[in-house]
Amino acid sequence: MNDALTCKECKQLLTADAPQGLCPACLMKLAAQDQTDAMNASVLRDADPTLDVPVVKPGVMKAEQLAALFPQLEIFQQIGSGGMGGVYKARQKQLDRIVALKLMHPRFSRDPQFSERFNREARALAKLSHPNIVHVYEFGTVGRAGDEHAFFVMEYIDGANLQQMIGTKAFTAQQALAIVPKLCDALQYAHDEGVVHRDIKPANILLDAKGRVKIADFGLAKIAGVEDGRLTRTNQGMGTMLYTAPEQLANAKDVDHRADIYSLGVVFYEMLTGELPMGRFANPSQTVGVDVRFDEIVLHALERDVNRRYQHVSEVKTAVESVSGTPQAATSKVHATQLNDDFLIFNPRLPRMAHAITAFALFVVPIFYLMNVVMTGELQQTSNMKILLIDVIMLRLGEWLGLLSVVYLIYGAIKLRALNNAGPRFLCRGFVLELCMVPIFLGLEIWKESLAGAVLPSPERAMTLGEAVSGTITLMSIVFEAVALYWLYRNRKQLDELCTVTEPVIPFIPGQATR
Amino acid sequence: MIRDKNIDMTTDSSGIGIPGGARAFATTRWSVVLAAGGGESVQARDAMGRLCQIYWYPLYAFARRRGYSGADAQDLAQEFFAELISKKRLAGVERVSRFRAYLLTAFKHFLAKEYEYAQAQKRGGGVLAVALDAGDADRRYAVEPVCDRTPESLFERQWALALLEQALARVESDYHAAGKQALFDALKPGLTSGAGLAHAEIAAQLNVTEGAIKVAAHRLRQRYRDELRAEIAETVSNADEVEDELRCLMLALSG
Repeated sequence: MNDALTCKECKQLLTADAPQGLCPACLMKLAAQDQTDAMNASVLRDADPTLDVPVVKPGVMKAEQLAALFPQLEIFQQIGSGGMGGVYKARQKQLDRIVALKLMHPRFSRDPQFSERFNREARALAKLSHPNIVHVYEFGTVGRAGDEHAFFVMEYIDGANLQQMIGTKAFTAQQALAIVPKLCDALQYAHDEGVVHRDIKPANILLDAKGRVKIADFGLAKIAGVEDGRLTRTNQGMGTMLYTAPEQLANAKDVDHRADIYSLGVVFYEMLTGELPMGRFANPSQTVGVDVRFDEIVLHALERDVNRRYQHVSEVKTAVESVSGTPQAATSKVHATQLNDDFLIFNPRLPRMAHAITAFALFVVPIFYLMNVVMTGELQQTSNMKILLIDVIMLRLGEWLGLLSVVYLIYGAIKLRALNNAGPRFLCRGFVLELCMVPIFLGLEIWKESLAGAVLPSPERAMTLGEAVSGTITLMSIVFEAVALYWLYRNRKQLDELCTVTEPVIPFIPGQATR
Repeated sequence: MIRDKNIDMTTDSSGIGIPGGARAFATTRWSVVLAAGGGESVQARDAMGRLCQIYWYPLYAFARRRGYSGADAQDLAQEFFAELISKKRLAGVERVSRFRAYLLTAFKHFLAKEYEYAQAQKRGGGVLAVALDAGDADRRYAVEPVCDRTPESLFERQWALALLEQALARVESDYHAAGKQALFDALKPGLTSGAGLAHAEIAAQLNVTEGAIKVAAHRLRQRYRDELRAEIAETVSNADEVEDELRCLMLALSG
């Protein structure tokens, strides 16, 4: 038996999983000893202080040490310590401004590629200039070789972080919804600049006393070099990976900006519900009664498959704003009466064209129809039975088809305002009907004229003003309806996404409960 | 104002604590978890998460020994941790004094339940609570010494190894932070071999006296001992348990 494979002391086989090559049984025995081999005083006198290893909590430095390393700063106090190092409140003496000094633990400088990576990333970070991103003023390394500390001097935020806020329970869903778009803005900006945060979590989202949101620690995870994903059990820096995207956990090298979207999703969920989306988690609408449409947003952001997630943070923002902007909340607790009141409220979230269409459908068309009905009361006197018949047909057809299209249009307009997805459908039907009437009536008119002996309208009969106006309006309406139809068709996808209400709420029927 | 609130070390998600017996038991990770008692607590969640991060491999090995494939064992471990960290799971564990025992029992129950639970039911969006390194796990399990270990005994052994590794890394980190990595590397064998260290050679290498090396070696052993006991303490809820837990662990490593 090869000696190298057995422990010299206990003769046990040394396996490949022995911690750092040491015999595990013997190591454990060390802990069992009441006192390790005591050393008498005379031997202890030999101790060399240069070999001393102080028991110091990482991230905590003595004030004198700091002052020596940063002569240009006046250090006030430590304001935090994360897994990567300490953060201190300080003042830049020359500029007389309050800053936050972030020191990274020396162990990061251990990595030979660190300094190159650090300089490259830190430069990119310092370039980020956005109202919702903590600004980096300076960066560099201090200390002796082997004991270097990378540092950042950044904007000091007088406030709390989101983790503390969420813990207070006074944090409402409203506040969460106010924060998310700003986070999206900041993230989209950073992504556009080529910087991925990689460590979005409530502790990194700061809220100052004035309510401004700022994201801190951009890109630090990359600088720290936790890139190859091999977070072994002894990794001390990263804590739990509660907010990390699955692809980032599997292989941190291949991660792109979409990992931030996942983390944002987790934070969003936590802001809304106070819990983390773990295992089989409940939808926010079920837990706290927010709009059900947020469920979709959260789930879409939390997609494990990176390609099925939102591909850009701006999409998240659009989605959130479109949901939170609507006055009607399609929650499970809304009653029909509430919806009724909101039907005709001007909805800012619909595109302008949609407003034009609904206005047209609600006002122009019915009025015009009524005018037509009122004004064309009399049939032209004629002896030709066929002409009379055609006139009658036209009249009746006009009345009924017209009525039908008016009904469709009004109904569709109301539904569209309620963001019910029946809206565009019915509007389309109405417009199609109206437009179909044009060739039908034109055809019938021509037939009538041909029967009367002339293809073109007789030149003696001058057009009355009323007829002219009516004709113009009709023409314009037809054009508009055609355009509207075309628009509804072109934008059917966006409308579909916008109009998510599907409950068959019939307006003006009081007491009808929605699901 | 909130700014003045002490952002103290107990909320440090990295879980780095003071080595040595100085640590009050109230702040050991398992104590924190138990104290939260299933209620909401950021510290408890962080503590639990940290515990899971250190000790996931023993569970993985247990699942593998039970017969699950590598991918399945991984998925199960992840799903289990996700449930574990969600507060609902922790309600009712007040009386369990040792994390190791709790973890294995809970995992066994979980496996029994999961047997009926179809994989396809998993919804997109479950957050991984800990980083389970796929390739690493498989590789480590592959070099597992082939023997008649039961899944339980394999779990216990891997647990002990994880503990030892964790303590060692902590101590090494301290040495490195002080710029004494070379010293640590040289003195490391002394942790197990006692007198077997070549003091004179090391002294010559590091340009100090042999006596100094002897003292340094002694200090390292003491340091490691303290750290190891502290790590064990993190997984129990009161001081009496440490000795007993140590005995169990030593048993797990023998034979």
